[in-house]
Amino acid sequence: MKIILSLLALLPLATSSAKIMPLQFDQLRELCTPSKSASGWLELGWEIDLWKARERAAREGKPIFLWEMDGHPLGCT
Amino acid sequence: MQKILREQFVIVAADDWYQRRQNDALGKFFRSVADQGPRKGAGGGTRQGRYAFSASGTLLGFNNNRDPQRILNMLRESLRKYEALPAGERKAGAFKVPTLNPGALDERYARPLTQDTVVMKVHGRVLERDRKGNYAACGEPGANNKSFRHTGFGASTDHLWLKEAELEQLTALALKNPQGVAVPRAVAMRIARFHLVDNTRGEPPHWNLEEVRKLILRATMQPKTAGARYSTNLRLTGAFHLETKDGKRGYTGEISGFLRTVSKTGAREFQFVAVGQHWGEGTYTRGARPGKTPFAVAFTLADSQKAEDCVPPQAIRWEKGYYEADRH
Repeated sequence: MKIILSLLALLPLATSSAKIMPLQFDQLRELCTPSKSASGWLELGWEIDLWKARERAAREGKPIFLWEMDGHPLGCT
Repeated sequence: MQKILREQFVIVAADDWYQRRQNDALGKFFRSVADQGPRKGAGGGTRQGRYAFSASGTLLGFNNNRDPQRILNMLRESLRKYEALPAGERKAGAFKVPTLNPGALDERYARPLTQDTVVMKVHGRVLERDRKGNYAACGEPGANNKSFRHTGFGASTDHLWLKEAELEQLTALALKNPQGVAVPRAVAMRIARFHLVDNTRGEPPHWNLEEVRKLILRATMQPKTAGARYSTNLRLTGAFHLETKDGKRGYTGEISGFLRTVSKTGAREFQFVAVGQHWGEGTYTRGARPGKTPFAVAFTLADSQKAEDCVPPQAIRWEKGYYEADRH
């Protein structure tokens, strides 16, 4: 009996069939959104078009820094 | 480092999978720069890394190490080399970059964001349950100074691309059927196969057709009340079970959200979340927590004016397969 009660108590955590409640919806959305401190590097003014970056660099007299990854650095992981 | 990047460089991020392949002026320019460094992509291999170069195409520095100090050293050294270039290569306005017509890009590898595309920001995160059984963040990203690799505890980012016509079709269908309708299969499968994935530690494996064991995604028009803020108000609900044949990787859970049109402005409000139990890992996502653990994915409309919001979905490398996710 003790084992059955313990298993029943665990049921809400183990099942994925529980509906997402409105409060939980907001909480989950918030949990998944990157914090400002974790995404500050996005505010550096990234270009995503190498040719545009090249044109801007020539115009402004600056070198180019290219972050090149298999999977876009701004949208893969 | 951020100050140097912001003030002294023009910074650009790109997906090597496209740029090392595309047979056009942009691809050729990139490869001409990369081939001056140690990563020559022999046999079509990767050229990923961090490059510094001039608009004229002279390589100034290369680094494929995550250590911030080594990247900083490379940036400083590159600035010194830049200053040593002839004036025609470095003075503002001195070097003329040829015009590149977008139509001249290799269309096999061009993924432009078109006017009829609706972009959603997709963020995933591993979770845990607190003492009350509520979902909570699972640890902190932390500094991880040993390898600077993803710990997998931060939020991941991808983009979901939908077509305006797909959302219009869904709203029209739901208006005709007040009891609720199934979200068109191509859209539901695109969401499930390519976006209900754990990409918190790297490039994730997507689900193939057979691995979608169960997928229900429905939209129900909510009744209009007097003075309603929304001209249309769709509630989205769903359930999914995704699992590899060998059972080593899977994700089961629920989906909930809304798609609304604001009466006064016609603006769209569109959000949904998926949450459930995830298990397993892929070739590039090693280090998953053992067993079945909570994992959530949130979808919100993106601001398509921002450059980073125009980055194509990771899974759109095969464009037809992405949009026709129910067929291929």
